[in-house]
Amino acid sequence: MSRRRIGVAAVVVAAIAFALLVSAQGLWQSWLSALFPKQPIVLMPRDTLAAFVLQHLVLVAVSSALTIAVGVPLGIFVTRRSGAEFRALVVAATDLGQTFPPVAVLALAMPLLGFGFWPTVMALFIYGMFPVVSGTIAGIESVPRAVLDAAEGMGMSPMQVLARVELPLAARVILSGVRTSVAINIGTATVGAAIGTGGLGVPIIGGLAVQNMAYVLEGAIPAALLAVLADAALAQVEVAVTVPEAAAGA
Amino acid sequence: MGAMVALAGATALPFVELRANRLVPGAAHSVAAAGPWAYLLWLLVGVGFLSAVAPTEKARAASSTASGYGLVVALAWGIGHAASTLLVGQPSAARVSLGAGVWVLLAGTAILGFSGGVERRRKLVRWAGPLVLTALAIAAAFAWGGLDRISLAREFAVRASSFWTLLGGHLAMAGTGLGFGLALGVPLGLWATRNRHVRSVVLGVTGVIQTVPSLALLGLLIAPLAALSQAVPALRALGVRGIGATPGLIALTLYALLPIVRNTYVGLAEVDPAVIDAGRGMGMSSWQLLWRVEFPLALPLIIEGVRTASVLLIGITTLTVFAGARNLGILVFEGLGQFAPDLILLGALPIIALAVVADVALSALGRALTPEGVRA
Repeated sequence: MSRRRIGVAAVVVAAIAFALLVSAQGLWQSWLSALFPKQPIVLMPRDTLAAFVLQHLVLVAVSSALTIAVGVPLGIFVTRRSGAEFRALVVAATDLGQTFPPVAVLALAMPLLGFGFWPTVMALFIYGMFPVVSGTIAGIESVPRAVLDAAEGMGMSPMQVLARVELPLAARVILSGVRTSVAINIGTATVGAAIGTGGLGVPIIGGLAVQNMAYVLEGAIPAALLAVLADAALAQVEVAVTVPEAAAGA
Repeated sequence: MGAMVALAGATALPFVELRANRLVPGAAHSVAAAGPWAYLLWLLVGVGFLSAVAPTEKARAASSTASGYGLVVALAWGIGHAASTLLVGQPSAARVSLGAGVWVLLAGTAILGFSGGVERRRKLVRWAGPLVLTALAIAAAFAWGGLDRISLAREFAVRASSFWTLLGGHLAMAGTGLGFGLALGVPLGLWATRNRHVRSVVLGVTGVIQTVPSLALLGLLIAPLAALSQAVPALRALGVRGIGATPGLIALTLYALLPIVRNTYVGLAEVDPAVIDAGRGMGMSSWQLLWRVEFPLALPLIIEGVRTASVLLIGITTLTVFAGARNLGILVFEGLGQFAPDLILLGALPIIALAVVADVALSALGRALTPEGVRA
């Protein structure tokens, strides 16, 4: 049993434990009541905890999927000869974009796109692009020139070089961009509750508004666990896609 | 490409919106509402297109730079013209807001300015001139061109006094969090270089904190702090409460730790051992080595960590309003609550500007503090 397998197994077990934990409505009811005895209602009545978690996951999954589907090809495009003239522009835009606070970007989505699920998805998607695009560019450009020359010398077509040499060698750096992007999305999606998207931010913001600390914990604990879990899972994917030789060289 | 984006902004999309009051959606008006300024906008977009076909590199850069700066000025005056003409005969509650076209035009302008090489001119002196002229032209549009009549400016006028307080609150909060982060992070980073176990614990813990969503961390801090201040009256007298500045400041300090600790550690660990040997050979004590050799060499990387941390904190400070702090986040979330787009802008645009300014300023500081001998 390699260390890698143990890591994957640990993440799977943790994910199952998390799913069970957030479905156990009665458990939360009893321990939050024990913690806040004066509070008559300790769980937000609007939805079950499992439903909040699910809304959160859907929001993050849809926006991150869009981010990857657009961001990775964009990063690849500007490292090709045909897209080289846009490289400087895209790099500058992603550098600048990453300095924008995600909360501000989310807030700006409202006047431009409106309230609800899709505007939030759009904001998360656009903001999540920055680390994915810059990770893709950095990953592909980290492939040594000599390796590319060797691949071309073996008679590979540009598509083959991309698919069999550049992307496998760049995979780790691309994925670390994806990981950053997903972490930001999970965090920013919490704030999305303020513009009516549901998710784990609802009990946090709602609880702070009515001074019910039990609601706050009902949202904050699963949100923190979810973020740490997602990060650990993506770290495992990162390890899994790393080409062994590249890892040895790094 | 910038010209194409600008063209789309100048023709296809609504330029401004006339609304009966600050909350309801309004009627869109095309760029024609800018009156004579519309022609100038189109002309400048045309100049932008010329930049793509100009014969020499120099001509290309000149035409896109000129059209970039020109567009900003023409926009300011065009919006002002549209606002003052559309508002004639309207009740005083009526508002003129910027349409999608303006934002797209601005994006196109930024691309044009970029391809004109604005960003490549590192020397401030070279672009200070056009920048000051542009700023003056915009200020003039506020004073005489009617730009002060748009909804965003009116929203500002209503809240002018509280705006500056909130801006100050934002800076104070982010700055204090950064200060605490530095006071804790630099010693922790230093300790990490001396002890392998400390390193893995400190980097691991700060890494996990960084992953936790900021709103969740705030929530996790508020509940126990509320309980603590209930239990210990002495703390309450010190101002430690579940709601207020305390949980926000703790959260900000914690978020500042990772970039500062990591960069301090890497910066110190990367100092060439030969340099340290040389210092020792000169008879320096280990304190002298640290202060006069290791820290100066690690400083650029530490500043880089401070840059990352400050950009992060300026954003997260926005959220501390949920814990009762008072800063620009109040405008953002009040705006979201009231469905008042211009109030959101009034909060969000300064936050973005602060983050960008902090980023640029600290990058410059990092470059300036790099010892001459190791400059790339």
